[in-house]
Parts: sequence; structure tokens; C-alpha cells
Amino acid sequence: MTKRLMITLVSTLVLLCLCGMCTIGAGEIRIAVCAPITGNYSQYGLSFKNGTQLMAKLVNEAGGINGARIKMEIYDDKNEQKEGVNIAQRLVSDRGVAAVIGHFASGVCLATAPVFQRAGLVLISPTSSHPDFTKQGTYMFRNNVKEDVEGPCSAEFMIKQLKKKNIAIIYVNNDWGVTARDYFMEGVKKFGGKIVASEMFIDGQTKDFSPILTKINAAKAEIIYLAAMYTDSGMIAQQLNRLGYKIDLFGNSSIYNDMLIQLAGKAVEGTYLVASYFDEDPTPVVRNFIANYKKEYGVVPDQYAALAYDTAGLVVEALKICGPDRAKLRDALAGIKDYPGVTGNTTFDENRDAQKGVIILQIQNGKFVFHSRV
Amino acid sequence: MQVLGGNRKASLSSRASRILFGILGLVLLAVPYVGVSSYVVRMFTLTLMYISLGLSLNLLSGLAGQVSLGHAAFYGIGAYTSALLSLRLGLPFMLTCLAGGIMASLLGLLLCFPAMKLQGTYFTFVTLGFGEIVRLIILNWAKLTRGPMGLPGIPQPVILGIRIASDGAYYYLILVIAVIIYAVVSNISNSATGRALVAIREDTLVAEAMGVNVFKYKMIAFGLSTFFAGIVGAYFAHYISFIDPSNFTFDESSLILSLVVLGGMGNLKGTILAACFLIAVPEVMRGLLAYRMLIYGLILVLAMMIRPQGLLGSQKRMQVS
Amino acid sequence: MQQIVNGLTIGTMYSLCAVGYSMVFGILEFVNFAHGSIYTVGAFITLTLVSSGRIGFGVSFLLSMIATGLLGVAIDRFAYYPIRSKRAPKMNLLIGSIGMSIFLQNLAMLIWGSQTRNYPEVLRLGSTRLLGVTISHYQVVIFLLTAFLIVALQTFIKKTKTGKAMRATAQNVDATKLMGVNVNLIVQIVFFIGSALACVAGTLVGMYYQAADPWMGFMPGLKAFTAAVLGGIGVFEGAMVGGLIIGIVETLAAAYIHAGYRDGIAFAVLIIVLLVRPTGLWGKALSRKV
Repeated sequence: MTKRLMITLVSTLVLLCLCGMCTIGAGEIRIAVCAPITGNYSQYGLSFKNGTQLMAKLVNEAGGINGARIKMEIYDDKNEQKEGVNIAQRLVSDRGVAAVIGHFASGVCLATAPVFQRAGLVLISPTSSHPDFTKQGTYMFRNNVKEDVEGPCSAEFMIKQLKKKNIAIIYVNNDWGVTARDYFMEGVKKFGGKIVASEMFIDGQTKDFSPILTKINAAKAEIIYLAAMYTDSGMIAQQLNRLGYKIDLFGNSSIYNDMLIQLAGKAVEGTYLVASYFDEDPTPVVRNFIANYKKEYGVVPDQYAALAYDTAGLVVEALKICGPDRAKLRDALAGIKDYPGVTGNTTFDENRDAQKGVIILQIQNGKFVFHSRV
Repeated sequence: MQVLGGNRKASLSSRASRILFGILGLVLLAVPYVGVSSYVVRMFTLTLMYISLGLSLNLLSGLAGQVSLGHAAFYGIGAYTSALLSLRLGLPFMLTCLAGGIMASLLGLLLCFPAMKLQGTYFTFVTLGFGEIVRLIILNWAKLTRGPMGLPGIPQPVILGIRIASDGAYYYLILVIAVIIYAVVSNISNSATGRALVAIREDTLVAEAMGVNVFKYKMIAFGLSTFFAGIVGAYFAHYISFIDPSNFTFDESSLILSLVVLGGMGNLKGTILAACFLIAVPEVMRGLLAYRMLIYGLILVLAMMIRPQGLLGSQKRMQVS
Repeated sequence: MQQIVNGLTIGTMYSLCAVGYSMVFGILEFVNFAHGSIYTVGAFITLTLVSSGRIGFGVSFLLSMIATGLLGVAIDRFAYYPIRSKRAPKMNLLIGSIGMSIFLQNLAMLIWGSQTRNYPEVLRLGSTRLLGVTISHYQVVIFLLTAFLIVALQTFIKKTKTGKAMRATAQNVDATKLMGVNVNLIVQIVFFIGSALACVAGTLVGMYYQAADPWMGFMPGLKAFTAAVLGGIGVFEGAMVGGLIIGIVETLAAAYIHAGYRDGIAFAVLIIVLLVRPTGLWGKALSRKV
């Protein structure tokens, strides 16, 4: 019995050592992409995968970077911190990896940041919105609009343009939702509005929003700000409709997804939202991206794919300047100004947060329509 | 081991096994120095952590037969207690770790009292419910735990003046913890207490009738099991430096339980084997990204179907001639 | 007041799921953890059939019920039966069912994708306002359907020979075997019906929220168990009332205490019930053999 135990342990040991030591052939620039490929958020992981791999394909078709091909290696972080840190540790010791694109959720980013920072490997997230993320170190980058921009913009629009002062918030109880709520509430206070109700729900578990909707209706809210993903937002809209309450809805950029309309139909008609990427945008950069994406994957890209695509593009830009040296890459990336991305002109500020513009969209006749630029 | 007969055979194989264990011990001690990548050291560390968790649960669910699906909650309580004490009050690791274990133990005993009378499946569900409630409290009591924002920046442990910062140092720390837990649980399982627990597992009614103080032994099992889970939790918090409620879900509890069941109820070496298997193999299987959880579920079912006593067999009642 | 109606709505959905759970639980004394996953698979099968556009809703629903029922039987035949026949501790069956639940859930994710799918609006039912409270017709339908199913099940169990065999199996497996009853067949029938009921619950919930995702079964599964226990094992009316009670308590807690704890409330109820009255509101006391 003990012998069997020994044999198994030793063989596992050997397997692990082999894994730890394997590297891929030279002549290739490797970029790791850490995203939730399995689990609740796998659809977003898929967008990351598609977006980054499309960029790699296009770059390689155009001759690569100074002749070298780039390769996007996908790692499944399951949106879990432990997994993320596991992968981070692995990547950090793998000298062939030049940079890491990921993760999807701020929580995972925060957990892996110390690992990447200590080892001096760039981690650039296309979607993390937690303000503390980039504060974790000089190797942390963020390529999306933070909640401290989206929140106040939304508040300003609601109060000044829509003239609605009595506002309710429904937010998902995770780090993103709470941050979004906080910045939004600051914005509302700044522009003279009033929060009449602030209700939360648990990610992935709550399907029935009727109790909080009834409460919000009783508080006489004129409009509800949704800090929730599109699946939950869709259900909220539907249930609001079913209960017969006439309250407007305003969404975060996360509800910008065609599936929302499929799920909620008429219930989301007229809803406004902020976004930084819009697929009807006539600029050639965007149109090309959408055409290529559709050709490659057969569907229209969502904003997450767009963000991932841009993030990959930013890394490619940096690679063009300095090659796959980790430290030099960090500097090159930090210095990028006015990169013409599909999610807007991107420049990194001194905190390595991306500065982009924000636009307001509205759902009209079952489609997302451009409303105004902020 | 049988008491009667086969003495010569016993001494030969026990010498061989002692040598094997010696080699194993050396290997384990040498891991950080052999020049393997820090990724491998990390894998070992993680495996040892799960071994510790599995051993702690084995005491409760394996030996005493009280199947708990809420173990992650105690692990979580230990983690949060230790993290909060060191972040808010700046207390040293030894203290916060102990506090974590004690806190987890107290809550474990709290659960034990009402759950004492419950049998089998009902008990399991109550532990599941308890685990979920604890997780929800951690998630919602934002004033204390920062809720979903988690606790970042948990300081590295400083033990007797030595700062645990490198992968190797962390590895040795968990190795020490794991060895201690193994020693304690192993000792108990071979003692009269262990026999009492097994009796309770096999047939509580009979055990009671035979004069076993079921209450006292269940308390011991619960208290110790959750204490160790808390200690490992504290270690985890200081290892990963950022914790939030998503680490301590039902999935985690079921993983820990699987280690116990797969290895064999009450069989400590089995738990170790199962941990190596279940933690290391998914790493190797990384290529099968999407199928991982699927295979994991399948393994659980197949294991129950083909070899329900676990890989190394469950510890049966001691044969008395 | 509206909150109570809200509570009843969600409560009826739990009741529906709970009835299937209670059945398997009552007759086999086995908590099928995979019930929640079967519920999910059932919902998805109906969705696939209806979305194909060529099969009408009623037929899709029926086919799906049969398919899901057969799935339940298959699970029993290939997974649970081998575990049972080893005479291993009950716990192994529980672990096996947990493994099965994980397996099924991920299988659903693989087959149908992890995105939330839209359930086409098949039946256009409105709502009425009554005494200042909005009641959706859907809720009424689900409520009546659950009640109907319970009555049908009760009749089946009390009046038919198979039903009698089921009751006998619940009391004493060995004696039933000695009486010449094919116990394995009975068990399979129980799984068939239980799973078909799970399918009904899943489909109706999917239709109500017009969405289906691979994780939709997890929480309802756990709450349905709570409902079944609250009402008393094997007592269907109990399961129904249990579901309603949980729905109301949960909704009120979400509205007046704190929305974040709503799921915890269901578990708290479970714990309290098991402590105070383990047999549930209507259950019979389990005798302990000495």
C-alpha cells in the first residue's frame, strides 16, 4: 500500500517537474491571455480569446513583428483568484512569455498583481474597473474606462439631460458592482440628484428581483441605474415590466450586448446606457474590425472582444517598439499615446489607466442607437 | 495492522516502509532547493494545503462519519479572522493564525450543538446550509469584511523574527502545518478516541448503547476538525495576500470532501494520495480546458461506483479476537 | 402586500421543483443532489425542441418530459444502482449524486454553451390588478399546475398497484422484494416520474423568466430540498406548502431585512426546521431501529 503511494507521489512529482520546465520553440513572441474559459463568465472569456487571437492573426498575416510571429496562449483562470495566482506563478517563471493580457474580473487581477509586479511582468486588463488595481504596481495596466468616469457621466446625463432627480440603484454585490455604485452615487450628489433607493443582489444566484423592484417603486424612483451584467439587467427589465411599474432604466456599459434585446425584448425599449465602443460606429477602424471578426467567428463582436482586441493591439504596438523584453515592454506600453483603437483613442495616464471617451446609447426599436457623445 | 500472527512479515515490511518514508521525507524537504521552477514549488504548496484541509475533514467526516459539506466556511472563517486581525490590529502571524483556528473552532462547536441529533443526510444538508450562510454573511457584512471588495494586502507572516516571503519559505511553513495536523489526526485515529469515533460512524445507536459518550466525541471531532481548517485558512490568507468570499464556496467544500471520500474514509494516507491526484492532475490536464469540471464530476461518480471505499480503503473497525 | 404575491410566485416555482424531489426522497430515502441539474437539462431540452421551430410547444414539452425522465432512469441504472448494490454507506450515494450534479451541469454547459439563452415567449399571458396588487397569469398557471400534479401523484400512489408497490418499497425494501415485486423497476419508475417533474419545473421557470442558463438549477435544487423537508419527507402537499412558505419568507426578508441574505434565509429555515421539528410540518416520525 505504501509502495503504491510512493510510486504515485513520485510519478506526480516527475510530471509536475516536466510541466514546469517545458517551453515552446523560439522565434515566436508569446503573449499569455488569462480569462475565464470555463465557469459563469465563460462567455466573456470567449470574447477575450476571440479578440486577442484575431489581432494575432492579422498581425501575423501582415508579416509579424519584425519578422517574428506572435502567439496568444489562452489560460483558463475560471474567474477564481487561486487559479489566477497559479497561472501567474507559472507564467512568471516561463521566460518566453513577454506580457500577460487579463484578467476579466478585478478580484482576480488584484490577487495576481503582486505576483506579476514582483517578477516584473506586464499585466494589462481589458476590463478591470476596480480603482485599486493599477495602484498595485507599475506593471499593472488597464485598458478600459474606469467606473469613476462612467458613473459620474451617467449621473450627469440622467440629471441634466433627462431631468430625473429621484434615482434608484440596483447593483450586483461583487467588487465591480460596489465600485460602480460608489462612483455613481458620488456623481449623483455632485449634480444635485437624490438616491431614493439602493438595492443589491447576489451574482448568479438571484433571479427574482420583484421584492427589490416593489421596494423601489414604493420609494417613487423616476429612473433606475443598473450596475449589473446584461443577463440580470434583462431580467430586471422584464420583471419591472411585468409588475407594471413605469420606471426608466439606465445601464452600464456591460449591458451593451445584443443578447439583452433577445432576452428582454420590449421591456428594455428606450433604455439608455453608457459605452465606449459602438458597433455602428462609422470609423474605418471599427468597421474593419467588425468585418474581420465576423468573417473569422461568424458573429458580431461584443465590447469585451473589442476591448481585448485593442488590448492585444496595444501590446503589439509596444512590442514593435522594443521587442519581447519584459521591462522595456512596460516602458513602451506606458508611453503609448493616441492609439487608434476600436474602443476609442487610447492614451495611458500616469497611473497606467486608459483615457478614452464615453458615449451614450439608447435602445430604439430593438436596436442600440447612438445618442450623444459625452 | 493485525494484532495476531504474521509478526515477522510485519517487521520486514514496516522497515521497508520506514525507509521509503525516509526518502519521501528527504524529497519533500529538498523540493525548494532542487532547482525546479517556483511554479512547481507552488504546486507542492497548494497540494500540501489541500492535504491539510483533507486531513482535518477526515477527522470529522472520515473517522466520525459526520459528512460535512460546509468545511470551506471554517477555512474561510480562519482566513478572515487572521487577515482582519493582522490588517486592522497589526497582530503577529502566530497569534492571528491561532485566533483563526480558535474562531473557526468556536463556530464549529456552535454548529455542533444543534446538529448533534441529526442523522446522515440531514446533517450534511445543515452543514451545507451553514456554509452558505457563513459565506453570505462574509459577503454582506461589508463593514467588517469589506464584502465583495475583499481584503487586499494581507501582510507576510513573520515567525520568530523570520519573514516568510519566498516560495520556499511558504512551502516549509505549510509542510510544518501539514505534518503537525497529520501527526495529531493520526494519533487520534489510532487511539481510543479514534475507535470511539469509528464506532459512532458505523452505528451511532449501538455505540451509545455500548456506553460511548457520543456527545463528547462528536464535540472533539468537530472542534479539532474546524480548528485545523481555521489554521489552514489563516495560512492561505497570508499566502495569497488577497481574499474575498469567492474563495470559500460550496464548490470548495465539495472538493475537500471528495479528497476524504476518494482517499478512503478515515484513511489519512489515502487523503494525501487523493489530494496529489485531484490537485496535480488538473494542472497537467490544463490542455483540456473546458472539460475539467466535467471530468471531475465524472471521477467522483466513477469512484463511488467502482471503489466506494476509496483508493486505499476506509479504516474499518479494529478486529478484536 | 405585493411582496406577498411576489413571494407566492417564487414559492410556487420552488414547490414545483420540490414535489419531484420529495417523491424520490420519500420513496428511496435518497437525496438526489442531481435533481437541480436534471431540472436544468429538462429546461434546455424543451428549449432546443421549441427553438427548432418545427415542433409545437405542447409536443416539445411532452417529449422533453419523457426524455428527461429517461435521463433520470439512465442515471439511476448506470450510476446509482451500482453504488447502491455495493451496500456502501448512504454517504457514497450522496457523493455520487453530487458528482453527477457537477457532471450534468458542465455537460449542459458544453452542449448548450454557457451563455444565458432566451426562452421564446410561447404563451402570451397577461396579468390582472386585484386590490392594488399585480398578479401575473403565469403565476396562477404554475400554481394550478403544481396543485394538479400533486393530486395526480397522490391518486397514482394511493390507487394503483404500482403506487402500492412504491409505498411498500419506501417502508421496507427487502420485504417488498420477498413479496415478488421487481423493486429495481419500481425505483426506475420513481426516478422517471421525479425527473419528468423536474423537467416540468425547469421548463416553466425558464418560460417565466424567459431565460435559461446552465446554473439555473443549483439554488432551486437546494431550496426545493428545504421545502421538501419543511413539509415532511414524502408528503407532497407538504412540499408544496413548504415551497410557498420559503418563497414568502425569502421575499419578505429580501424586502425588509437585506436583499443579500435572501438565500441564506432559506437555509436558516432549513436549520431551524431540522432542529425543532425534523419530520417537517406533516411528516411521519422516522422510527429508529434498536
